[in-house]
Amino acid sequence: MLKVLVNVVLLITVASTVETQQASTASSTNERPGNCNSNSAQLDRVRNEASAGIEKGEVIIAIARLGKGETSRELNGRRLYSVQAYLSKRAGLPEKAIVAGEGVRAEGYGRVELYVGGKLLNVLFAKRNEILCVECCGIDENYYLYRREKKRRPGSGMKLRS
Amino acid sequence: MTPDNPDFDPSSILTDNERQGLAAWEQRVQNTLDEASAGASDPAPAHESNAPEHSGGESAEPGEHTDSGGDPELPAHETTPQKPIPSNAVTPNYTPEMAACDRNIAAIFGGSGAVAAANGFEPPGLSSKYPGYRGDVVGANGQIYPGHLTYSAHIYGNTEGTGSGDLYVPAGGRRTSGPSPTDAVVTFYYSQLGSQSNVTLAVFHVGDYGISSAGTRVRIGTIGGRGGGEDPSYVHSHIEIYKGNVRLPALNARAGLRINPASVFCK
Repeated sequence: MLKVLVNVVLLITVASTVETQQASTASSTNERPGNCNSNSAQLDRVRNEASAGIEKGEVIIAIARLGKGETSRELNGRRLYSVQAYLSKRAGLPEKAIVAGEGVRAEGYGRVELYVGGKLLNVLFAKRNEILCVECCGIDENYYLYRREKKRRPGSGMKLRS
Repeated sequence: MTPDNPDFDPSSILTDNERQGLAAWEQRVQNTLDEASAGASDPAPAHESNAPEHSGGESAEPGEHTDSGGDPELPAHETTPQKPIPSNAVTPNYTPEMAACDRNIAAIFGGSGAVAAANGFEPPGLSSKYPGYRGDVVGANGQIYPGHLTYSAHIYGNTEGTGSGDLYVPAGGRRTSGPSPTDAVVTFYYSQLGSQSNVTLAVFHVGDYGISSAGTRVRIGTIGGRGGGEDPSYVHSHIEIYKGNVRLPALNARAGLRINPASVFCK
């Protein structure tokens, strides 16, 4: 419940920030999806930049936004999961220091924006309808997070064998 | 002020990061020149000669490539990285010994101008969107989280991470797999490599793969192959070393097999 509340508050309070910062985001970053290597390196940079503030109670805010041609909000969830998992399980940040939410649709590629101390620090772009790879190298395709997003056929839900 | 103006300062058109990278490069060139001029007592320093004395493989002697004496002439930027270091970093200082080890590894695997990051610190000239520190950190729970560079030594063509270059492995190994389709990984088995015996050397992001002898090393391709060259500001290859003859282990099996490359070539 608390998580939902946090997300709702974030959507309200961050939406305007996200809108106003989009221009600077677009102009200040290379708007191309990175690969597993560059994504993990950039998340390490976010960890390094944020760690001092986190000790004082600050948080990293991760905002996922769908890109052009993307419809499934599940993509946002998966991308945020990858970022949160890396920052907490690989980069050693406390989970409570990472707050995730969804923003409005972005122009161009889908993305996860990372705010530290109220400022946009980094943007990770994702290829259309793909998640963010943050594991280097040789991702495990069997891990569901890394499977390609597939359209589900009607009535094709999982069936239990009798 | 224009380029036609004799008073034109070329560095005035650079960003702060570019200027920092240029300064780092100039300092590195100066270091090389200084060490070359003082090299009468050391006719084949590893970073100048691409370590021709490094035989690696079966003939490698443990600690053969160690430059354990460090380098008291290291410039400040090499011992004091400008990018933020997390307060919970296990090794927050880039010591002369670390720098010497990185030079040693660059000389083993890279060509002229190559730079290695095998001791937790990226080269200082990398783009500002990339970190300086990628070593181990201590979590709030006391657990140590291994940094990416702890078990994965990066090889760059230059200190800015923008260049490619020749990529080598020590002689004496036997190719056991690769290049793989996604990250161009090539594995080699060594009965002896540096200080370790019975290990697999995995080289990731090998470009233009092709084997050719190069003295005591073997040229295997170029830096920045698939998976390591898509971002022009982060062009690299990297090496990992695993216990045994295991080719490329599954991702979840690697943690238990990895050996810190710095411990193999610098201790």
